[in-house]
Amino acid sequence: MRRGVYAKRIVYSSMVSDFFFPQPGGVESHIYQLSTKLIDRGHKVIIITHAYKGRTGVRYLTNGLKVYHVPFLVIYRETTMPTVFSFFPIFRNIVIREQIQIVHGHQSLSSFCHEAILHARTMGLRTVFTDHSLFGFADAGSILTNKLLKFTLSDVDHVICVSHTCKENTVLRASLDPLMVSVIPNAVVAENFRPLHATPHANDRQSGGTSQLQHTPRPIGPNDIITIVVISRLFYNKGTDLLIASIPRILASHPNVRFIIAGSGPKAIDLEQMLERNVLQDKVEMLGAIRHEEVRDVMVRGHIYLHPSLTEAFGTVIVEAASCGLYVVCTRVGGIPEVLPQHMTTFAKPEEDDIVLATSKAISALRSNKVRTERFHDQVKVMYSWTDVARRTERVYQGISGDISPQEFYGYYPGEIQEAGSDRIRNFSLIDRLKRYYGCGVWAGKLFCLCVVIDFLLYIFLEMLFPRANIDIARSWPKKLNEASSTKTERDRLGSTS
Amino acid sequence: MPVHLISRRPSPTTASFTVSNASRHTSTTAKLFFYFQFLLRLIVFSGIIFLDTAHFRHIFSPRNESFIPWAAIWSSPLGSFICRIADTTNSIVTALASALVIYGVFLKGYTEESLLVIRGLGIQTSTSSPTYLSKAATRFIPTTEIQDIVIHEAFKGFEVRFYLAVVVVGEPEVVVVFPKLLPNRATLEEVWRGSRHCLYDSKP
Amino acid sequence: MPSLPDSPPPVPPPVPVETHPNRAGGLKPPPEHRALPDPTRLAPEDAYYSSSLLRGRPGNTNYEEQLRPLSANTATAVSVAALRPPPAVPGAAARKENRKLRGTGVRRRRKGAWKKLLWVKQSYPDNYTDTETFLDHLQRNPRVRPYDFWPLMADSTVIVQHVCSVVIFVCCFVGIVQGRVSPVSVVCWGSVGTAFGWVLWDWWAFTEHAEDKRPVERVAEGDDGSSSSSMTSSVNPSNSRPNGQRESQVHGLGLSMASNIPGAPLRRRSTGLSADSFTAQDPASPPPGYSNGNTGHPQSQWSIYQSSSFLSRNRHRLSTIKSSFLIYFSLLGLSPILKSLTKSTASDSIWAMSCWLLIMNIFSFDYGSGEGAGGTKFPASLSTNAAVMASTVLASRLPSTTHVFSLMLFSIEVFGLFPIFRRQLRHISWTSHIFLTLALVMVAGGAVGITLRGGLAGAVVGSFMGSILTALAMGGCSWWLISLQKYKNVVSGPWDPARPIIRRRWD
Repeated sequence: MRRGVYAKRIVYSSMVSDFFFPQPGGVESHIYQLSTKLIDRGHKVIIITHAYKGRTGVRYLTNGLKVYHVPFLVIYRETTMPTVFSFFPIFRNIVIREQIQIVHGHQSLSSFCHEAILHARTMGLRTVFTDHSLFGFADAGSILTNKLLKFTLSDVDHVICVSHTCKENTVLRASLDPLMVSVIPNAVVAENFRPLHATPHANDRQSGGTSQLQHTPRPIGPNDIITIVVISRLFYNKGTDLLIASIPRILASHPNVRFIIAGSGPKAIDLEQMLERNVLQDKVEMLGAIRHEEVRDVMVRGHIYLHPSLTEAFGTVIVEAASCGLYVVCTRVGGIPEVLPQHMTTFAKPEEDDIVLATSKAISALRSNKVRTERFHDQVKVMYSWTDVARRTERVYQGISGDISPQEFYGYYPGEIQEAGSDRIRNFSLIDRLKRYYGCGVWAGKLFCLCVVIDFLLYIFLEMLFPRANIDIARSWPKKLNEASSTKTERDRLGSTS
Repeated sequence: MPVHLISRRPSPTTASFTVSNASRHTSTTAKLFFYFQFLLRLIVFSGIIFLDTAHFRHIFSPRNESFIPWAAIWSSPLGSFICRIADTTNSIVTALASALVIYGVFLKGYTEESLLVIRGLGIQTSTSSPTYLSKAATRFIPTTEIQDIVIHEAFKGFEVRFYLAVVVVGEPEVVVVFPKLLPNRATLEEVWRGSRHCLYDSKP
Repeated sequence: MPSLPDSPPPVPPPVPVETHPNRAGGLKPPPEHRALPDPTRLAPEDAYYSSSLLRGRPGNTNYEEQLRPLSANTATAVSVAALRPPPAVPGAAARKENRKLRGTGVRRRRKGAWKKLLWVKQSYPDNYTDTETFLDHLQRNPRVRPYDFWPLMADSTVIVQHVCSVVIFVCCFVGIVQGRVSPVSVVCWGSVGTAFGWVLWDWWAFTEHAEDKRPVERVAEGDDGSSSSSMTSSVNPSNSRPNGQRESQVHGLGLSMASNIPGAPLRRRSTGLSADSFTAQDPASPPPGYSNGNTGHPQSQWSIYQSSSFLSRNRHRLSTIKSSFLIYFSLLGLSPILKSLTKSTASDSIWAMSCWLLIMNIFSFDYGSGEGAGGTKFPASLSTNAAVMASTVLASRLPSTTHVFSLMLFSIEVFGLFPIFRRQLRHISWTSHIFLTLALVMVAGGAVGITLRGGLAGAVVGSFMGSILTALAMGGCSWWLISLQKYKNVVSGPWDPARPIIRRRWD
């Protein structure tokens, strides 16, 4: 690979999303982990999100990650009011004072992210969008979301999706060139999801695996209790109905099986009713909602992780479960089939019978000790790491900011017309942007053009009202290591140790 | 108006930082402008007082002969002109307008904020009042209550601004130094270094 | 452990996993299928070249022909899913783009096949798009059911019936208010009709009971078809077809339930009606038919079953009569209160409110065949409640308590009992359903004619005009709906939330 040839430039990027800490969740931790790893690779990353209760203003997190909690009105489930332009003045100020070059929005339901991408394009910045979820095309809500996504993504520089299914979905929803969409999966912090019998310290593993050998779990006998863990919010989309239907059947056919269910949600009542009706309270343990830190402690109590979800873009939790050394039984929906290799999983159709069947198969596989679950952790660690995600994201950044030639980034095709390739490099001139937006739809295209023109006028107005020269440039967080000697190898080392 | 910083060190244990957006009157024209402004304020003030007196001249008894010859004044060309204006306008309007103008006369037109650091004693922040009539608002924080002096950022209006703040023991909110002017980062860093140096005698 | 201790255990080489076999069926399509032109599939380039997509959709071909492969494919959805899209019909840009993408596929394959997996480190860039697998599982209009004209017309009779009964009710009210019709005669005719309907129903129940010995035993053997019907009917696309209820066992599950246990719906309806009209019926009440103890004696012989069911049917009759008397007397007691309930409200508001309530009744009415939980989103009680509310509101404009009582009873008969009878009639006999529709249309037209003009001539002209207008409206709306079908473009794929298939309820 020719990657090493480039003199790597530090990228100043900002992650923008409605969803961030202190709210727990997958997108939130994705943003945090990706940002810290990018900082470890020598870039400068800030995060812009809206103010949470008791958390307004500018904050620093570990590693010098700066978070702007912009005070904005929150309307529904931590999503801000979609006012198209009101975010622009403060966003411009932040972007100028932090010398941002790339704006990276997350999650299609975040209006903050869409606005930021629009404004960033008006200001002449490169933009990246990461899609974390799947949307259908049928109901009114997703039609609206898709239109909004089309608006934002018709002028975005690059899109990152967490799975190939997610990529297909996003390409269809926003009518994108598939080559402008990269697939970069989520990852897990494997250190936080260690199986119970693994060595407690990572250093010991480096020194020698002898201690690990001693801790190898006892093989499961034919009459040992097998515990099935389910950790999910109890919503319809998470397949709780399937779970409710299949638990009694699994327990009826396998007497030595216990369930641990963690999570809360509207379907919790149905689940409890089922338990009461079938008198299964002694076999099924309901833990209620648990914090993300406790997930590992719950997971290591079981042998099988059951994931009956009906839709899932990536399914980080099954990677976490596999990392904890659990055999995974999951439905074959969304991006789940891409996530884990076959020896770690048993797939089922989203049908009650098939889930029961798959779980029984998994139980018998475990009983016959065919599955080497003790190896899962190290294998998952190789497959998914945030350092790798950051490296791949960095390549996207370099590609859109021109550090990698477009031929290499998008691939060079001899028969290609110049027209098709040049459209991928999105230039900033207003007329070209308007052309892109105009194609969004008969009415929507004109509306979007209007929005873009207003945004541009607002930008000019802001440039006059708050001149660039008056905005203080913020200092970067002091780096402990001297930048001059940091070669690529050292950065990698840095990334893997921290 | 550009904000400028004047730092003084009257003694090794004392430091004073004044931030102001007033003009410095260094050149002759600036000085002349200042005096002219003063004169103008004087004239406007006396004029408005004169107008008010003219408005209420009927309430004053014209018959008792005080030492000011009121009748002569009102019959003079200027006096009669003023009387005519005063009679045409409503008394409430006159009262409001004169109150506004008097406020404007005494308006300072600039803000001056200062930070006085005395080692072993504490620090005092002061923010000048908007008019010449009231005193500056000051706050003294003894050394024992000062936890730290920091520079941080915050949202203000449509901007993110740097500010210098004193973290006070036992108070939930920090005391912002220079809260009105919010000078730029370079100025703040200079003040921060100077005050820490003075307060803790540490090498900044 | 055989693996080296200081290196992580090797990950086994990736097995080519067939992603989403529930959609693709896990089958590689035979090669000759690949050559089949399938206009319903998208090529990857369609996603961003909307022009090629538009040109690719043959607009000049007959709509029927376009739909036929679709309907054929719904039966074999598996093969549809596996079909590869051929390049869309011409368009220079699209063709070039296509060639380009194909070219890359060939070039890349030398490096080793790309796999649609995330956990494998592949030597392809992250934005690599594999032409073979990209949008492989996309389906267009997968579950679309092409409408035919006459079945659509037949289905629309249900709506016509309900609208007509509402019109008749309104005309009766107008007649009562204007003093043309005696309220007592209206309610008497209504009650006679209701009683006749009930007797008819009871007879149906009796005859079907005797006929359906075998299905009842099937239920008795423990195949809980009726409780799962709420699940399966959502899967079964053509459930609400009214004319094939007995012949085809495809839709049989849901329909046989109604005919199997005739006592059950009867009882539920007679008791459920009072719940409907006076208290809000719980919309999430469990499926009917299990509480009445029919499943209690399945394993016994037929004779025992027969006698016991006869007893239970008598019990049902008794309870129906009891509840009808309860309604009657409570209405009698309530009518003075109902009369004065909205007396102070201005007449304008009353007219407007009753209009809206009746419109709400028409729009939220459950026109489905009565089985299938996913029929309507509205609770069934919403429609009935709206209608009863409308008649309550209207009752305050009437002069005496007798008037109010008559109107209320009539409204309960029209809005509460009549729909149940109509639904049952539709199941029992299709021709009588059509005749009932015709009669209703003519009566409604006549009633409107009398209300507007008065006299016999008005009635005749009204029923004639009403019939013609109704027929025209039915035909026009059906034709319109069919013509709108060509704009249907449902895109589905693995990103859609899967529909869980649950065999049985554990309750």
